[in-house]
Amino acid sequence: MKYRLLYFIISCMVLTSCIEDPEIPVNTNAGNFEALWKIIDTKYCYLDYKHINWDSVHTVYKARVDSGMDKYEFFDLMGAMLGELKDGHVNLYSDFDRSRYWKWFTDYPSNFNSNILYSDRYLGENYRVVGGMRYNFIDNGRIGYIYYGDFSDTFTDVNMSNILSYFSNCRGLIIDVRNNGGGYISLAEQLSSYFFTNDTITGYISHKTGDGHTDFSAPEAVKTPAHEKIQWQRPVAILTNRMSYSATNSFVVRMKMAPNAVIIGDKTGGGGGLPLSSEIPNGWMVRFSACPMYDADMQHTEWGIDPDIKQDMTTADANNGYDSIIEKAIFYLNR
Amino acid sequence: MRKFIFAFLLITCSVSAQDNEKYKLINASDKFGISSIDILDSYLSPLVYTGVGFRYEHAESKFLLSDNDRFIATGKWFALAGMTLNPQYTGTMTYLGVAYSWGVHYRLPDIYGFRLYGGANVDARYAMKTNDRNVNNPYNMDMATNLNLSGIVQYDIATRKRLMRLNYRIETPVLGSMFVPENGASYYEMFDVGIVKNAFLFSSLHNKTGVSSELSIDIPFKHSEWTFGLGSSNLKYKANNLLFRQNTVFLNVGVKYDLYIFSGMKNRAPANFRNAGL
Repeated sequence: MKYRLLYFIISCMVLTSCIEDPEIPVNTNAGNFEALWKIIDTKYCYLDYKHINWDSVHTVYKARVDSGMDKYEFFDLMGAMLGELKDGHVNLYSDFDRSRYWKWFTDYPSNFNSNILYSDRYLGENYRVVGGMRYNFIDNGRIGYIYYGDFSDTFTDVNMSNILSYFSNCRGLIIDVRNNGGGYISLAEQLSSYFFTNDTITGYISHKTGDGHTDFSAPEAVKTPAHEKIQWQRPVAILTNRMSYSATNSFVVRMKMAPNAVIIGDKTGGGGGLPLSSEIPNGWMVRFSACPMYDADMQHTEWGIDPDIKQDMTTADANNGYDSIIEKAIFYLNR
Repeated sequence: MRKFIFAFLLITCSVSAQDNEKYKLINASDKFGISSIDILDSYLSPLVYTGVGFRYEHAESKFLLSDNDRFIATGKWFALAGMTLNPQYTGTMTYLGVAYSWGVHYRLPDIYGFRLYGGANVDARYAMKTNDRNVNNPYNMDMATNLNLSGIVQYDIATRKRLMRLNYRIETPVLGSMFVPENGASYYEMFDVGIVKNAFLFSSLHNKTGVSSELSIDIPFKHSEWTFGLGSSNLKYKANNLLFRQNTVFLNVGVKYDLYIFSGMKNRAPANFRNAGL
């Protein structure tokens, strides 16, 4: 009996060592480079879609990695390597800097002027604000206008019920999500649910299932539910620009399918890949697109969503205090 | 104060007290401890996070049957809260976990004064790990049920003043089910879109191994019995191309009591009230 007990204890201890630990590269510039390159190689979801030869990137950047580089030089080099992905959802986080790729909006017209937005013609000074929604009547009370600049600002059904009731006598509603860089994707679903009358498949999502660049799960349908109690069934215009990104992109994808909605402005900035994060041996964190999201026609949304009505802000309008995109929406809703 | 403590204990033990049979005492213990924690959660990070945590354990034991002193049933609540850091101290991971187990031990024949118990228990575990830096997907859940084999060895040490008891407990999971996210899938996909079909898995020794053990000593004092323990637990599991590991080493301090005699040492249990002794 004594020996059986001993065997039991020893077998327990042996069994715990049967599952092997993963190999972690050493914490050197070369080791960190390999770790970062491999994370992207195995987990980033758009290498094939964007026709990026990641092996070639390895060759080019490995030659530039030097053990004598200080942390700033090495960080900049790794940031440049990640910049090859041309993805606003890819960042390298250290305790002294965050790498980023911003050309998805800096290479395009801004189509947004906050001075005009807060002028008396639009929001003015006495707008109401709740749950991140800044709202007021415009066009002599005929149109309800909401500016929502951050999908990290949470709102509730009660907030939205009050806002939509406030605008109950309006002909139409404008939801301006320009310069909204994203936030919680669940809020994108919630906000769009007020504009659907039936549960609707508005997109698809998949994720990497293996290390290969084409190893993806079968796309699963993403439904936008119609809100049970709060439904706006009059026309609604969604205003977009290139800085409408990530969760905002997801909101626009959904609103494309809403029965009374129209998208007006510039193409959105994209950000169609849901990001995950990982770390490399020196403690830097990398965020990357991991789960590609598609629209209802199974088209990638990474490069942005085209508006139904393309409209840029014009210098002439701006000089006169007009926001060309809001004016276009007012014209559309008053037809 | 004593009334307050007694009321507290009555409340915490009320579920078991309701089915307390006439002649069976419920031995209870409350232990508090400090623990070192190592966590590898390759869903959140490939790096091992290390830190410290605080643990609490409440256990209740009694004879399973009225007419048999060999079977002892034990129910146990366990909670662990910890804060860990990655090797470069640039990221933190918090750990909050609770577990409940219920099982039965059988008392084997004594050997050289050692009391031996062998048995099994089933448990349900839930823990939330949060990697604060992960912007979009910062959480991972540990959720599992296990069938564990366990063994207990006890040895009484008599001194001039008191009878102390050495306890050694060991436990290992053998079968169960567990939640492991799909490698590469986000929590949005799993819980908002509802794609969890590959996340609930069968576990056995092929993909989950572990052992937890504790050496403790029970020392009776005039009005109470205290227990001091040193233990460790090591758990590893692998599924969906992800590896998870959690190692802890802990120190426990606690008090042991049974509900009947807690109101005072003068009020001792009659001889026909039997004490399971765990």
